[in-house]
Amino acid sequence: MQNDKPILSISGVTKRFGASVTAVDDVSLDIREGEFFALLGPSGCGKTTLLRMIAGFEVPSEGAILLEGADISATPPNRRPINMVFQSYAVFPHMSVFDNVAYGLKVAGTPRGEIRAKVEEALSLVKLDGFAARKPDQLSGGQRQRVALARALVKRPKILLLDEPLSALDAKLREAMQLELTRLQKSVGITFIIVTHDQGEALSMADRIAVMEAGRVRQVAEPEVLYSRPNCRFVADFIGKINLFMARVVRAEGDLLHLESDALGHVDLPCPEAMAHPAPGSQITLAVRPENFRLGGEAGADDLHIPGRITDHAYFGGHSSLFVEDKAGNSITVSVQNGPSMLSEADKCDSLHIFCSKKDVLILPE
Amino acid sequence: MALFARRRLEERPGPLAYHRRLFLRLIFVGSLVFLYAPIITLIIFSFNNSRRNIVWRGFTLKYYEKALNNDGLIEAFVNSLTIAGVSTVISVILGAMTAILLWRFRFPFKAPVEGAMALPIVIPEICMGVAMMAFFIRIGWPTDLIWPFNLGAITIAHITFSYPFVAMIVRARLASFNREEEEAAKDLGASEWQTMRDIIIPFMTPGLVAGALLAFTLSLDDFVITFFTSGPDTVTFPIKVYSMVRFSVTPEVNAASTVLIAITIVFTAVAMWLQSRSSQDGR
Ligand SMILES: Nc1ncnc2c1ncn2[C@@H]1O[C@H](COP(=O)(O)OP(=O)(O)OP(=O)(O)O)[C@@H](O)[C@H]1O
Ligand SMILES: [Mg+2]
Repeated sequence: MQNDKPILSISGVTKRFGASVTAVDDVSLDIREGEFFALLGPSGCGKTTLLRMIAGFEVPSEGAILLEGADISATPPNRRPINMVFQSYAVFPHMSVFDNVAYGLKVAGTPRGEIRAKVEEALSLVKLDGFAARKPDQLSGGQRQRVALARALVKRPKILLLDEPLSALDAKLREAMQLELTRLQKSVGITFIIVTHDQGEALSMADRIAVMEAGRVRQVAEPEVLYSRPNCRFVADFIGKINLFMARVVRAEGDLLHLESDALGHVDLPCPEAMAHPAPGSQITLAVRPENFRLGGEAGADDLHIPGRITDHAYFGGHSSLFVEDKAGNSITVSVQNGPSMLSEADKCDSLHIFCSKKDVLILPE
Repeated sequence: MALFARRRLEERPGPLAYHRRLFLRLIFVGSLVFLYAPIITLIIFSFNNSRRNIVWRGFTLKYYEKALNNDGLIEAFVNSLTIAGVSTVISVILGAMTAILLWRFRFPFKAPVEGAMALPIVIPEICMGVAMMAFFIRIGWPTDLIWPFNLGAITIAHITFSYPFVAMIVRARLASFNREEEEAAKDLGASEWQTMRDIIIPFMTPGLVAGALLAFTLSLDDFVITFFTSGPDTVTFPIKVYSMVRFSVTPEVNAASTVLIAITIVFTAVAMWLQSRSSQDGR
């Protein structure tokens, strides 16, 4: 289904509320046809505002939104082939499930017989067959959300927007719905744009993710790339857990940077392509994921090793987090798989070495 | 012995079991008596076979017959119902529109406008009455129109004081409306007008019914303002009753009042039934 043709182009869009609030700041994005795209960011970073501009409820202060090449910035929401699932679901309380789902077809003047067939199809798509006659107050939160989903899908939009659709559900149901949403998206082939502040949700569902901070897009990439090669400190910190170390550039030798860090010692690493070569003496940030550290064992030729001691640990079932303090007093988080003897062994050693491979050390600008 | 102790414990009223405390029961019964004893007396004495209507002299329906044959009373009755009906319809329309305006739009001097709208509620009725009379005389409102147009002045006065109540009730209801429902309707392709018809008005309905009920009863029993705006040909029921009572308190007045009470009760019951049905539909 997926190809590289953008179905939606957001180019240089800025949204200001009054003089002081810039909710969305010069955002440019291309959304490809048929993809599952996620807007991810902390609360208040402008995700909802961006989504509402795509839906047509807000008009951009600057920039343009193009749907299949045509500028829709000034088109009212009821004339856009884009539908939305609202954060509160906004199911019409005085209408039955059937009438809710049929509403969009009714106002479009679809013939009655056709409406019945389409509504039934949409309801079975979201597994609500047999609920048609119910009123929304006789439904659970999860079921109400399915009504909102069916109501939008029945219109066969070019793009479906979802604003934090899973945030009101409990953990178990949320996980089930994540799977179901991706399955649904693949089966209907409609482009989905989902807003979320839950990085796990974005990583597990989306084909591509845009990470936003304070109205700006910091990185747009596939989940694996975002996790393994974050392009800045903010993204690295926001996606998953990561250890950050300050380092000083000693000198640059072609593409190789010689760095000095009080936690990692002397490291030489290739400079990332996207980054301008830093001047000697400048500060940069190094980052290592907790699961890229190893405890004990033999150090390879290319490995960094850090002496330290375990100050604390937290048990998470499948894995544990160990908090290691190095000689300079930095706290480093190390994630280990829980084997039968792992913890007791780690508990014993008061002083130990942790290792990590050089290729797992990330250089972050800023 | 232990069983007995348990029973004593159960019989002591809990902290929230107010209905089981003697003192509160007495207050409850007392207030019911003070509220309804006069009304019940009025109804009972409408069947009294005595012209002076002070002591009970036996059952009769003749005063109902007399009231029905009293053309002046019937005319006043019809006038009152006409005024109440027309002013209710117009008050509900105006009130709903005002509520939507205040809820939906931002405009300069919104707070003063909102305050001014509530003025007819707080201004003493007597002042309203005098002001209305002065106003209609000043603009030379014609007094010699044929029925029902001669009721115009009273109807306008009634609309003036009852539509703010409707506006306030509907406005309070709209405050709890989820704006995302409106956006959802538009997102699904509904125009502004379709959204209003299919989403917002159904949501307002309980407020509209409550407002209509209030406007109707306010209009039906208004005396002061009506007194200043009515002429010799436009007598309403309360004014007619007042003039009859000044003569003498006959069971005829009781009979007419009883009929009015019955009509009000039926109307209220229908409105409450409508409201409970629509609140079953929505929230
Ligand atoms: N109508 C508005 N008027 C003024 N400021 C607004 C308006 N809507 C949003 N904002 C501001 O714009 C910023 C971005 O808001 P937005 O709702 O897009 O955040 P968000 O990323 O969706 O956050 P959350 O995850 O909490 O939903 C916030 O600082 C918010 O206060
Ligand atoms: Mg939001």
